[in-house]
Amino acid sequence: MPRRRPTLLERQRRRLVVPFLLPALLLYGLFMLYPAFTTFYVALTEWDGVNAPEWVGGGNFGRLLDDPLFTSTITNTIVFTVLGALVLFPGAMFFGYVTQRLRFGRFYRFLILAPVALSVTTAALLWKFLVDPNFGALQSILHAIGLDSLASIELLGRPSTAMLMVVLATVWHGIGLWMTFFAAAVERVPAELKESATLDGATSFQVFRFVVWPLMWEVTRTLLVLWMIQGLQTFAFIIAMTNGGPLRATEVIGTYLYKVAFASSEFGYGAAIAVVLFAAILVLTLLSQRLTRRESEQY
Amino acid sequence: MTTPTAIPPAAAVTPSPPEPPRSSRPRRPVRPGRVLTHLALASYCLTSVSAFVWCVMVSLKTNPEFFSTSPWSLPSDPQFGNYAEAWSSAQISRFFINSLYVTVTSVGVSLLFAVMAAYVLARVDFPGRSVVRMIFLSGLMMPAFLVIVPLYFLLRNLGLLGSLHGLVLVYIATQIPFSIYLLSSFFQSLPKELEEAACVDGASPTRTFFSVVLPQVSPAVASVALLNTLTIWNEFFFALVFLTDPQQQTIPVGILGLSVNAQYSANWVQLFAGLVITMIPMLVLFAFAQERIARGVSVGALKG
Repeated sequence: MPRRRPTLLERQRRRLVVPFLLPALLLYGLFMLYPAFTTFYVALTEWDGVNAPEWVGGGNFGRLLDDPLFTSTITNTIVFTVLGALVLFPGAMFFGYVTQRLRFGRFYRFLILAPVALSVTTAALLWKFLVDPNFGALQSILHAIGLDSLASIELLGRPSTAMLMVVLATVWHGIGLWMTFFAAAVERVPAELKESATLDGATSFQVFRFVVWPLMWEVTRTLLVLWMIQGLQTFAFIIAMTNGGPLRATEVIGTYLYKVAFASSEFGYGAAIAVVLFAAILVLTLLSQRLTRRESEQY
Repeated sequence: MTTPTAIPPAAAVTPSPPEPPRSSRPRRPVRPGRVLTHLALASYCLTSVSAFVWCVMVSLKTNPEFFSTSPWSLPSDPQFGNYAEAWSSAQISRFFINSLYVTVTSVGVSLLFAVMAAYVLARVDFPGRSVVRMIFLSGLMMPAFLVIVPLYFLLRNLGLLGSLHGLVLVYIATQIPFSIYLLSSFFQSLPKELEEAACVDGASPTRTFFSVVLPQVSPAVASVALLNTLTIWNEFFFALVFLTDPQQQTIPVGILGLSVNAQYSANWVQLFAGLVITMIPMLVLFAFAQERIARGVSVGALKG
């Protein structure tokens, strides 16, 4: 685009550029950009935070490959993400779809969304205490309906069930948002299509399966990638509910990084984990952008 | 779709007499699927609500009552004193004031800086604009984990580790990219005529910005402020790493510390009273601005 001669207004406004950009740039540069770049350097060193960092090149990354704990945290993170998707997506899709059409839909939606306003620790503690075998409210319900064997299980104390509990708490906290995404996607499906299908005698489920779903698949794909990005960064629910236990069954990348850096003071190694995590997020972000672009071409 | 179009729609077959068109929506017959859907939704919501109710009921019991009675029993003699005790001796009041300080300061300052930067980026054509914009937007992809280690040492070297002021600075910085991202699209959608008129009338560009532009974007600014308030009030990771002193903790970290202490002191009712107190502000805010928050947080999550 050829540059025109700037008008008086434009010339005046140019004087704003530096003073208006500087405060934001300074703070953002110092407290985000600078540490972000420094992480890549720290990842190449061995550093206990007291003595000077010792250059080890790619040593930390080699160590990651041989670290059975790191491998298991990756597995756990994947388990968390997959389990979460299996619970979250059908649920959010169902809520998003039916609350658009039902009477009292807005009321339901308000209640489903409300946990979003709670802090993650509050939500996590609420769940932790609900399933506590000594005084939890869930246990008394299980006793009341005669499932005593289930009631005696320490849901957060057993490796096989702890992850599921963390997933359920996470989904409970956030499902309202994903419901909102899906509700927005349903709204974008042209109303005439749904109406004509209904007039043709299709049931609600058929309208969903054959009219709404094909159009929503694109949105779902993008949301799945977003869930993966969030799943990689799971942290607070795990710290508050299990702290990675029992037997490290719920140790994920985020909690491992936190412990390596701030409990064992292996800052170089922690930074290397951060770099790997960032690379994974970067790949997923680029993927989601490609998916979104294709989706907008179709509509 | 296998159903041929010739078959009349189900609603027309039902032998109801033609009603006067009172409502635009025809009364549909009761379908089992619909009832089931209502049942599923209602039971989910009931579960959700009963979690809150349970929390409130525990917070009103005494500790012996808490251990001896059913979790679902009503408190025999509501102990509102638990709330006072949690507020003062369990230091909820301190956490509250800390959270309030951190949230108000960081949301306010970062919003001011972000609005200014977004305005310049959206409205003024200057060399290097796209580069600066890219630099800001790249912040959307940076997870907290990526910055945490060097940031910890940066704060330590500045003498700000463990202090709320250090956390405020970090929070200001982390909110800037997303705020700029949202605000600059609002600025771009504004008509330019008013600014031009103000300029012709001889207003300085700074004056134009504060008294002509800002009032026009105040709804957008309010949305971003609401969203950042919710995020910062509930932020956990940075607060956990940087606030090492128990006296200087925000609610999310402080309440976690209380829950650990409760396991030793067995003062559970106080912890639950604390949980309830800390839930209230955001739930009230949410009740008033649900739509706005939902929309905003959706955009926030979609940033990736």
